[in-house]
Amino acid sequence: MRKIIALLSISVLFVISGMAQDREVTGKVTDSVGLPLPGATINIKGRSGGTSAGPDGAFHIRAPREGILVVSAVGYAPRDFRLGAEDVVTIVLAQSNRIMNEVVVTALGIRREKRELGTATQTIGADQLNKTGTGNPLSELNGKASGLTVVNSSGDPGAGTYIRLRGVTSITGNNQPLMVVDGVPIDNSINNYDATSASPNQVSGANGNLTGGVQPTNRGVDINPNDIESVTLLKGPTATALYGIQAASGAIIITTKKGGAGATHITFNSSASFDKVSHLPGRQEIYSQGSGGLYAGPTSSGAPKRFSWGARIDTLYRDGIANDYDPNGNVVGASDPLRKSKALVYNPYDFFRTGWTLNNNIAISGGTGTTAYRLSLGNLHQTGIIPLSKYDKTTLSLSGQSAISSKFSVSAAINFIRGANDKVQQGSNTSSIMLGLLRTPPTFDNTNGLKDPVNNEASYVLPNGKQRDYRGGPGYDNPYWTVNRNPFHEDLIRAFGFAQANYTLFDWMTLTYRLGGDVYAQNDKNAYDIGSNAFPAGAVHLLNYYNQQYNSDFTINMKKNFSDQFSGTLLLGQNYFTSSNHARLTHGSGLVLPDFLDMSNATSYTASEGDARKRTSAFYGEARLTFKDMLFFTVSGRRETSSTLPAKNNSFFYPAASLAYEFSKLPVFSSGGALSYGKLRLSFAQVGKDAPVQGLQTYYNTAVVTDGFTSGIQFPINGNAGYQLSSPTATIGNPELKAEKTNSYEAGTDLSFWNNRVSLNATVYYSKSSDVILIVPVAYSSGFSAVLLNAATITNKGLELTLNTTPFRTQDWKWDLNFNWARNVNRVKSLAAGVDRVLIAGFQNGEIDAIAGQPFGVIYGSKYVRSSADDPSSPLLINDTKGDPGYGMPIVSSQNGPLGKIDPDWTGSVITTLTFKGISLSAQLDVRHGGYIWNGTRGALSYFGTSAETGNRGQSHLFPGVLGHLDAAGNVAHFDAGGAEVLKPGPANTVPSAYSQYYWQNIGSSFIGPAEADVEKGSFVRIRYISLGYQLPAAVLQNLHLKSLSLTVFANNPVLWTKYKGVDPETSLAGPANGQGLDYFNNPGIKSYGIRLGLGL
Amino acid sequence: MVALLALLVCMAGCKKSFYTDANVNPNSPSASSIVPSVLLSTVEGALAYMQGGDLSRFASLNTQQTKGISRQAQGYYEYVYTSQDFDQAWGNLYTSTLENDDALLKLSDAKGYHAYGGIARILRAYALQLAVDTWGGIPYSDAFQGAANLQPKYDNDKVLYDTIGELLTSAVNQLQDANAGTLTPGTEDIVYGGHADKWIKFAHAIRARVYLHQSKGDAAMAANALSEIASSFSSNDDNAQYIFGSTETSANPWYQFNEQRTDISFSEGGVGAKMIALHDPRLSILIDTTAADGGDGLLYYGLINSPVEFIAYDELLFAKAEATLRNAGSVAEAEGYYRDAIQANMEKLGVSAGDITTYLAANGSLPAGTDAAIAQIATQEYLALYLNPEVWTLWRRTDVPALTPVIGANVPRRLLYPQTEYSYNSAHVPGSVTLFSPKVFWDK
Repeated sequence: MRKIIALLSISVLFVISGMAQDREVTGKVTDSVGLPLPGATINIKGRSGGTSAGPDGAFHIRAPREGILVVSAVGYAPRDFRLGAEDVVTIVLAQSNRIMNEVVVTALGIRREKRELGTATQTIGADQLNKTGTGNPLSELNGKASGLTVVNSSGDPGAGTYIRLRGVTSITGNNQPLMVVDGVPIDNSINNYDATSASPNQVSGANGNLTGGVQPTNRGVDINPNDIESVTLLKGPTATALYGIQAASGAIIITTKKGGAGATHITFNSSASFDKVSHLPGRQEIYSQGSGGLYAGPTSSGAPKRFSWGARIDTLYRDGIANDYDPNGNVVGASDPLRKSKALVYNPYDFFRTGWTLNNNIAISGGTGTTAYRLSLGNLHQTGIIPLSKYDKTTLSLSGQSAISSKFSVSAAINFIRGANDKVQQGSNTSSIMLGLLRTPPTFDNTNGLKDPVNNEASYVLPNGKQRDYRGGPGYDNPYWTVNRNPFHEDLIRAFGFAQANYTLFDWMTLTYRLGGDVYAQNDKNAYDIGSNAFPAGAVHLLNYYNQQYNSDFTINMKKNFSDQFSGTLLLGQNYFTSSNHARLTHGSGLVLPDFLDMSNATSYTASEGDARKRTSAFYGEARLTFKDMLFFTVSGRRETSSTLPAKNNSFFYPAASLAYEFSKLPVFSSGGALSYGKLRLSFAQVGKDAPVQGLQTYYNTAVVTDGFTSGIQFPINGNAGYQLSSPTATIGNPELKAEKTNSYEAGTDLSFWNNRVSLNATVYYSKSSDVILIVPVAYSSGFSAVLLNAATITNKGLELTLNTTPFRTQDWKWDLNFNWARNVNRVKSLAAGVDRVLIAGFQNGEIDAIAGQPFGVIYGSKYVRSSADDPSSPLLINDTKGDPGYGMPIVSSQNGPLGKIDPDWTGSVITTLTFKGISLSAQLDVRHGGYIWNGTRGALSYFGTSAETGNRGQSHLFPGVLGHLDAAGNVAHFDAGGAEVLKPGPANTVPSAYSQYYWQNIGSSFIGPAEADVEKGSFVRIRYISLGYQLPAAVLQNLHLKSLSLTVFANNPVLWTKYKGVDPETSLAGPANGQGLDYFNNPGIKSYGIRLGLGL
Repeated sequence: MVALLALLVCMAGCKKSFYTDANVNPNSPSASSIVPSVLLSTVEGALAYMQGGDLSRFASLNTQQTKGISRQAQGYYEYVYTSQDFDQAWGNLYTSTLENDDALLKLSDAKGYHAYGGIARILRAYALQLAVDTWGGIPYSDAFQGAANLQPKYDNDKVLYDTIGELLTSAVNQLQDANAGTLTPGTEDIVYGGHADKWIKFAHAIRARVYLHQSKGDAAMAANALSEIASSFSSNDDNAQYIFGSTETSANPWYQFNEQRTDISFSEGGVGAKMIALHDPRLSILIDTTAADGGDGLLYYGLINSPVEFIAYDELLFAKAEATLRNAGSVAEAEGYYRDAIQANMEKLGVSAGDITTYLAANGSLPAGTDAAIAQIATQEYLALYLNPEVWTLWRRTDVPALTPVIGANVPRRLLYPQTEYSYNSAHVPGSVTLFSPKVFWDK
C-alpha cells in the first residue's frame, strides 16, 4: 500500500512534454442512410476528453495530424477513424447488430460494455429526462424502468419522492437505493421534525412515522436534472456487490454531463409551466353544518357544530345581518321571520390556485485537446397550488478534466446548491391545510366573502384577534390562517463533488484514486402563531441539520490477454466512508405577542442535540474473465468493517459471481436471421448490511412524557433535570448484533430481433434476506418498548421485462414504442420470536405493518364481522339484533386483522416517441395494478359528514350479507323466526336500514368504525406526460448562427384514471419512507402544462 | 489528499476503537453519571402525567363525572374501547414510570441513598395500586428485566396488594433510617420537597386506601384502614400531589387536553349536574358552566399549573368515615369525619368559611343505617374525588352514585389489557377479558 501511495505522489510531479501540433477538425457523424447521429461521442485515441455531436451530428475537435478519432454512438458499431490531411470529415457509423455495445456505468463508476454484464441494469439517458420542467431528478425517473418504484409524496413544492428498486429487504431500515453521482455516494436522507406529533419524531429516516408537520424532503431531489447525462439503475445486490452495505437496496448511478474538447458550447434551457390541483376527495353539498338533521352554526354551543350532519341546505335561509362569521348573515330556518335569501353552498376548493414553475438552466462547456470543462447554472422557481407555498433552488456546477500526460489524468467536479422552501402543514395535525379545509361544512365560507382571502386577514382573524374558523373556537385551523400564521421555511446550502486521478502505470495497469464529499446545512424554522390549533399558546421551532460525508476509493485496474480467445481483468480496491450528522433543535413555546414569530417572543424553551457518526472501510476485488468474446465470467468479493456493529462482529465478507453468455455469437446465428443479438445472464450475490448507528447500547435521554392525545411534558421542569432510561419509545440496545445478509439470485436474457427493431430484456430474481435487523416491539411490561434484534427473514422474487421496439423507421419517420413491466412478490417470512406484527407507520386504526407470512407493508386495523371467521371472503354478517342502533347494518369486529398489501401486483409503463423530421411527439402511460391505500381522509370526512358518500343519508339500503350477530362468547349466531339464538349464521339479509349519521359515524367509516371501511385499491392508469417538440433543421440553424433550437410543449400528469376516492393515489403521508400507503389529509397532487425552450450556441 | 491516504493506510491496522468510538451517542449521559435526583424528577412527572392524563380521563368518563362529546372521548364515554386505547397508559406506567423508578431504586440501594430508596418504593407502590385497581392482575415480579425477560408473567391482583404493603413497609424503614445515606432529595422532589416525614404519611395513606378497598364486609380490613389513617395526613398541607409547571412543556395534562383536544365537556358531566342541584359552592371553582364548548370549562384542575392529586387529606377523612361504619362504628362518629372531609375538600379548593357552614348545614348529616350512611359518604366523595381515578374505584366498591349506562346494560368495571400485551406477551396476558369481567378482586 505504501508503495502505491508513493507512486501516486510522485506521479503528481510528472510534467507534460510538448504535445504534437493540433488543428481544428470539423465533421459530421451520420448513419448509413445519412441521418445525423446526435450525441455521438468523439474521442482522440490516447487522450482523455472528447466531444459529442450536436443535434445535427456536427462536431468540432482539436486533433493532431494523423490522429485517430474514436467515434461511438448508442446502437452503432464504434469506429476508429484515422485523420488525413482534410479538416472537414464525415464519419459514417454502421448500425450495430449488437445494440448491447452500449457502454454503461456500473458500480464504482466503472464503465463496462453492457454485453459483458451478467446482471440487470437499465440506463436512462438525458434525452429521456428533461421532458418536463419538474426540476426533480427522482420524479423524472418515474415509469422509465422496470422494477423501479417512484412515489411523489404530494404536489407540494419541494415535497419528497420515495424511490425503490425491486422489493423491500429491510423492515425498519432503509430500503431506498444508494444514490451515486460521478462515483461518489450522495446523501438522500430526510431531516425532519414533526412538531405536531404527540411523540415528536426527531430525525426521521426510512422508519419515519411522520403523520403531521410538513411534507419532508429527501435530499436526493437537490440534484439538478439538467446536469445529468445518464442514470443507470443497478437493480439488485448482484449488480451492486462492489458497493457493499450502502447499496444493499440497489443503486442509482448518476453520471453528470462533462465538457468535451473543441469549440465552446453554450446551451440554454428554459421551461415555464403552470400547475393545477389534480384529484380531490368528493364532498357533499346538500347538508349543512350541524348534527342530527339540525343546523348548528359557528357560535352555537356544544358538539353539533363540529359536524355537517345538519339540515338540508335547500331548507335554510340567511338573515342578511352581516356578522363576523358570514357577511351574508346567520343561517336561519324557513320559519324565521328574519329570513331573507336562501342559504348558500360554499366551495372550499376555491382555496387552491394555479402554481407556477420556472426552470432555467445555462451551461457552457468546451476544452482543448487535453482539457475540458463544463459550467452550469440552474434555477428552479416554483409556487405551489397551495397559497404561499414555494420552492426556489439554484444550482451551480463546475466540472473539468485534464490529461496531464498520456499516462496521467485528473478530473474534478463541484456542485453548489441553494434551496429555499416554504412548506405547508399537512396530515394529522390540527393545523394541517387539508384537515381544516375538508372538514369545513358546505355552509361555512373560509374566505369570509373576501376577494383576496390569503392576503386579507379578515378571512381568518376575528375582530377580537382570535382565529376565525367554522367551529368558532378550538378545533382545526382555517386554511388561510395556517398558510399565513403557521409558516415552515427551509433553507439549504449544499456542496458536493469529487476529485479523481488516474495513472496508467503500465499499459495493463491503471491506478485510480477518487475522493468525494457531500456537505450540507439544512436550517428549518417552523412557527405556530398564538391561536393555532396545533399550538394554541404559539410555538417556534428552529431545526438545524448539518451533515457531511466523505468517500474515498483507491482502485487498481489490471487487464491481460492470455491468448486470442482468453482475456481477463482484475480490479482491487479499498474504500473508506465516513459520515456525521448533527441536529440542533430549539423549541420556544408560549408566545407573547401575536403575529411575531420570533424565538425571542417565547416564554419557555427546550433544546436538544442529536449527533451520529458512522465509519466503514472495505477491501474489495473483482476478477473478470472473457472467453472468445462471448462468455464473460465475473467474480467479486468485499470485506467490510462498520462502526455500527460490535467490535467482535464488525467485519464481514460477501462474494458475488456472474456469468454472461452471448450465445448469438455462435456460428449457428451468424448466417443472419431474425435474432440479431442474444445473451443469457446468471448471477449470484451476497450482500451484508450493518446496524443502525448507536444501536448497541441502551441510553439515558432527557425525559419526555406524552399520552397520545397531548404534547406532554418535557424536562427540565421548574429547573429540575429529568432523565429516562425508558419511555414508550425507548429501545433496548443490543451489543450482540451482527450484519444482515441477503442472498440474491438472478437470471435473465437480452434478445434483439430484426436488426434491433425489437429488443427484449427479461430478468427473474429471487432474494432472501436473513438476520434482518429490526426494532422489535416488546411488551411494555418488560420495562421497554422495543429491542434491536437480528431477527427477520424476507424474500423477494420477481420478473422484470423491458421491450423496446421501433415499429417503423424511414428517412423522415421514426416511431419508438417501449414497454416496461415488473412484478415483485415480497414475503416477510418471519419477524422475531413471539412477534408476528411490527408497526411501520400510521394510526391506531389505520396502520401500515410488517406481518409475518404477509408481504411487507400491510394495512392493519379493525374489520367487519364475516359469517365465517376463518374465511375473509365469506358474506358479511348483518346485525339482526332488533333495537340495536346498528340493526340491519354490518357489524364491526373487535378483532383487528390485515386488510390489504400496499405494494401493487404489477406496474408497467408504455413510452412512445414518434419523430417526423424535426418534430417529435412523446407520451408515457403508467399503470399501477393493485396495492391498497388506507383512505383515512374519507373515513374522517364520512364521520364529520362532509364526504360525498354521506350525501346519501336517509336512503334506505339492504346491506348484502347474511343475518346474524356475535353472541356473548363472540361466536357467530342468529335469531331464528321465534327469536331464539341459533349458533350459526342466518339467511340472507332481509332487513333494510338507512344510510344514517349513526351508520357513517360508527360503521361506514374508519374514523371510529372499522379501518376496513376505508381500504381502497390504489390502482391507476395515467398519462405521465405528453410532449410535442420541434427542432429547427440544420439549414435554418446555420443561417441563425445557432447550433440548435428546440421548442416543446408538454403536459405532465394530464389524465388519471383511478377508482381511488381521495387525492391522487400517488401519495404518501409519511413521505419518502417505508410506511407508504397512508392517506390522511395528504396534500393533493398536481397536473401541469408548460413550454420548454432549448437553445444551443 | 495525501493526509487522507495516510489515514487510509492507518486504517488497515487501526485500533478497534477507531470504529467503536464513532458509534457512541454523545448526546446521552453515561450510566455512571446518572444521579438519583434526575430519575426522581422523571418518575414523579411521569406518574402524575399518566394519572392526570389517560387514567383520569378513563375514570371520569366511566363514572360520568365528565361527558365525552366528540371523537375518541365520545367513544370512550359510550364504552367504545379497544385494547389499543390502553397502550399509551400502560406504556407510560411500565416504561416512563416503573422502569425509571426501578433504575432509581437500584441506584439508590447500590449507593445506600435510603431516602431516595424509600421514595422510589412508595412511588412504585402507588403506581402498582393505580394499575391493579385499573387492570387487576398485571406483570410485576417478572417485569422490568429488559432483554433478560421480554415476556413477563402476570401476578395475581390480590398478591400484588400484598406486594404494595411490603414495599411500603420497607420504604418506611428506609425513610426512618437515621443514616439515610449521604444524598437526600431536595427541590427535584415536586411532591414533598424531600420531606421524609411527609413521604411516610403518604405511605400510610396508600395503605389506608388498599385496606379500605378490601373492607366491604371485612371489619378487620376497615380497622387496618383506620389505623393507617391515624398515621397519615393531618391536614391539607400533607396532600400528596404533583404541581405542574407554568410553561407549555410542563403543563398540567388536563390543561393540555382541553387546549389541544376539547372533546370532553365538564359542565355536561355528572359532577357539574349534581353540584348545580346542590347549589354547591365548589361548582364555580371547578367548572365554568358558561363556557360554550367542550374543553373550555375546567378551572381548578385544568389550569396550566394545576395539581394532580395522588391522595388528599379529604379522601382519608371520607375513608375514615366509611371505615368507621364498616368497623361497626356509629353513624354519629362517622358523621363527624364525613363533615371534616367535606370541610377539608372545600378548604382545599378555597371555599369561604361561610359557604362551608351553609353547605354543611344542608348536606352535613348522615342518614341512619350503615348502608345508607356509606351511600351518603360516597355521594359526597364522588364530588370530592373530581377527576381522580380513585372515583372509579369508589363507584365500583359502593355503586354510588347509581349510574345509568350510557350504552348497553353495564358500566365498565375494569380496563382491557393493551394490544401490545396481546401482540408481544400473548403467552401470559389473560384472554377473555372484557370491560366487565373479570372484576378486580376487591370489586364485590
